[in-house]
Amino acid sequence: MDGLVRDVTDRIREAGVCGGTLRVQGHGTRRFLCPSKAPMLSIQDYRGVVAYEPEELFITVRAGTPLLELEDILDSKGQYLAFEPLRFGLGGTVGGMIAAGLAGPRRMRSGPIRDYILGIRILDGLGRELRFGGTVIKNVAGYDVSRLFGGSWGRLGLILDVTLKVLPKPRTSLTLTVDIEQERALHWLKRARSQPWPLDASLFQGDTVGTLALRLEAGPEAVKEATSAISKELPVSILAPDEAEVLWRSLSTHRHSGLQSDEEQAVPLWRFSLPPSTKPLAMTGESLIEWHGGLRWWRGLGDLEALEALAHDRGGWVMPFDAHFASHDPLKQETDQNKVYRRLEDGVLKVLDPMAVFSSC
Amino acid sequence: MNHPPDTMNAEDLIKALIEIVGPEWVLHEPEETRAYASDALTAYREIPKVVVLPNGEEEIVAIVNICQQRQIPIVPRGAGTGLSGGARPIREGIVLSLARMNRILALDPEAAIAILEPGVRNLAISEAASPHGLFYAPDPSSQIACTIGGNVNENAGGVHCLKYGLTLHNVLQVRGILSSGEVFECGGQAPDSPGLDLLPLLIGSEGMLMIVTEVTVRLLPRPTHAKVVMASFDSIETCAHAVAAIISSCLIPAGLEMMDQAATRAVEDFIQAGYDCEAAAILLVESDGSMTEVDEEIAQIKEILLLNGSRSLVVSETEEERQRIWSGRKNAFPAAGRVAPEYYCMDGTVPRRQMAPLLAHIAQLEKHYGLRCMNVFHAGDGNMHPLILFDGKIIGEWARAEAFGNAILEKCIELGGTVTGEHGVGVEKLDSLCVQFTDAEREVFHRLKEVFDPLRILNPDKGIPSLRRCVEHGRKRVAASDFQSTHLEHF
Ligand SMILES: Cc1cc2nc3c(=O)[nH]c(=O)nc-3n(C[C@H](O)[C@H](O)[C@H](O)COP(=O)(O)OP(=O)(O)OC[C@H]3O[C@@H](n4cnc5c(N)ncnc54)[C@H](O)[C@@H]3O)c2cc1C
Repeated sequence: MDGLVRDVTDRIREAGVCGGTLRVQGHGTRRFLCPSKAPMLSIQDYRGVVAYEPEELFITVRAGTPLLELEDILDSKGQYLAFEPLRFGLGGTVGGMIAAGLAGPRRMRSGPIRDYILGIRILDGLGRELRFGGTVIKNVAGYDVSRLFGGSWGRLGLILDVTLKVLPKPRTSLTLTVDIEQERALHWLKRARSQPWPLDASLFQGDTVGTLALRLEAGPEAVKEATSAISKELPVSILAPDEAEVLWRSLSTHRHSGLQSDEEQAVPLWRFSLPPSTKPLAMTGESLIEWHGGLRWWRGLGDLEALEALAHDRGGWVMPFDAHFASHDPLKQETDQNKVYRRLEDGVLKVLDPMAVFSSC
Repeated sequence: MNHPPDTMNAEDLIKALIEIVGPEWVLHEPEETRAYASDALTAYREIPKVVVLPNGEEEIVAIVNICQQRQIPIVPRGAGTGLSGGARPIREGIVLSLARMNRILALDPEAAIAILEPGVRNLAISEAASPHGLFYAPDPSSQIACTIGGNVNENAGGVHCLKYGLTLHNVLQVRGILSSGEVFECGGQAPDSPGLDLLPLLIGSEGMLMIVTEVTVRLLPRPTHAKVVMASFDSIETCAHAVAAIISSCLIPAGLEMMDQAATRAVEDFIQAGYDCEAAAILLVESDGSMTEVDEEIAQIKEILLLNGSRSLVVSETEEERQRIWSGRKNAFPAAGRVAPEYYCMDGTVPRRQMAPLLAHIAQLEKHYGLRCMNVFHAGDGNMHPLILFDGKIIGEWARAEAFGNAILEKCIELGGTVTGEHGVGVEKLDSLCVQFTDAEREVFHRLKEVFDPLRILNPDKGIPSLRRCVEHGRKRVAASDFQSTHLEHF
């Protein structure tokens, strides 16, 4: 392992000296969102658990550890990654999960991935090994550098290992479904957010009318109570556990039929990130709505600028979920705000990677 | 920015500030400014020459512009309840108080969010949300007084953070003024945003990166029921062990707090919360949710506590009783203030399993430094608040208290923890940061500050120690460890 880190360090330093760039890669399952021509620096052999203490609610793992392996280990102790990371098929590493920062169906309940980063060990753009954060949940010593890595797409530095907060798995999971109009579903979800229900994930699938699936996860009593309260408002039925499993899994693995872009017809899949209470968007055709309205997927031919204006107007943003996703510069409009953001973002990138070794997508 | 800074005498500065905010909002007479000489860590004091209280972003921008041209340091201040000297004035600078900006700009019960000015008090948020069945989760014990601006800048926690998260987890968006006078906004109501997510950098940045002028927080549905269990233990070790047992049983209680005997006795004298003063330590464990959920969880908690050596326990039967039990914990600091002229509150965090070893070490340090210490802590997340009791009027006692505190913090690092869980570094823990981070890591911190504040006028010299200071501290530590090895062999 040390030899591997030494080699990687040498390559970073060499690239820095020669003005080269590198792209860090685990399994490459997220590469379709962030293609880069820079030479690859593979981290997939840097794997394994460094420390796992279930009663301390943390695990430290090397970046190349397969996500599935991590989840199996946690599962064996009745714990899980509460943010239910989005992954693409069966592959994917822990480092890639952090760098992409994409949460899965449970996002509205759990918060973003970065909230679960307790500490990180990295190689910066000068090949220096640095540590930030630690293993404890509360820590305000120094700036919170470790959480910057969530969604950094490999630009800030190479993640060697990361300490994640883990939680006990809820004892019961139950999925309810109901046929409903989109507008009503969104309205209901908005109200549901201020109810004390263990509403863990939601999915609306359809056009103006479709199916709403609601996942409740908690202790058995709380799930039962919420089910009866919800039944009074919506004519829900219970989805069989194996079907529910397949449904949510198809979202967290991005395999759901509604999430496939049609490459032959060149019809892209658009990802809208919006304030959850946003009313239905006026696009025709099917969409998938997750995160209680906060995440909306739509497959269709659209004009980037028009869709961007639409999302922006609603307080969010949109990108095709393809090779443009991570590289797109949504701050390109020259507002004062955006200029400041970009300057600070560039400044922060330069602090950790002054020679710009780590390539952007 | 190569030209030398304009100079300005104090009188002209006051005049210029009065032009911006009006005469009643610029304080410069010592009898007025004295109240701003320190935050709640009163050992570090500096009577400011000028305190300015702007109302609104425009006024802040105008003030920042003056200070920027003349390189006058600005110390932002919320309620001044900080416990690390973050809001302590800087001799050549001004204090910028955000106390007047205390309006709740919006509260949307359906979207479950609130938009706040920085001077809104923490408790005022939950009070405003309460009619809608909502609350703002982070609840520092100082919540009656402390502000959301201060909370954001310290990443404040509270007794319910184990389940509901820290400030970081409950803030959606922050807006503020940079030292360039520009507005900067970060985060948003959409679940993610493109580009680097800079919000975590701002949370806990102790007034060093920008002046926060607006905060959007998420509100949570208030649980309909809550009960607290109070359990007594004959030893600190069994109590700490019971904490581990609760966590490993897959429960995440809403609150999990521990107090040692010195703390329970001080509190009982003060507030009569009904604590068992004969116990070596007590544990407060709260469960919240629906009635059945709470009953189910409380039954589980009771069973675990009894199995793990609790010698007696009480479950709150009414809301009144629950409040009474918590009132003791929430008044632990003032109670300490009654048993000694002064107390020095530490904030180290260790992995839960290291709590008992740390407490044993503290007991030895008490003897060594000849000072008493009482302990209250957020046991659920290993965040310890040893309160070192001292009398500042006795020559040498403050120095001993400080040395005692530093010894505790270094032990926290050694045990795999951190020197501050929620109170921040401020001016107080600069030396400890020399130990916790390497030169390269601290350099990263300095350079991040430079990105946001290239002129170094926002709360400079706080939060991150200079390289020189760390070299100096290193020398002192070597000397001290020579001293320790000859004097502490009986440890
Ligand atoms: C009795 C007591 C109990 C406490 N209990 C807890 C607890 O349980 N949990 C906990 O986390 N803390 C606790 N604290 C510490 C303190 O209350 C918190 O750190 C709180 O967040 C500080 O808020 P404040 O408004 O008083 O900020 P201040 O003390 O005024 O300032 C704190 C820091 O933030 C900066 N700052 C303040 N406002 C702004 C702004 N608008 N823009 C930029 N910078 C700003 C200041 O420069 C300073 O560095 C306690 C303190 C006391 C006295």
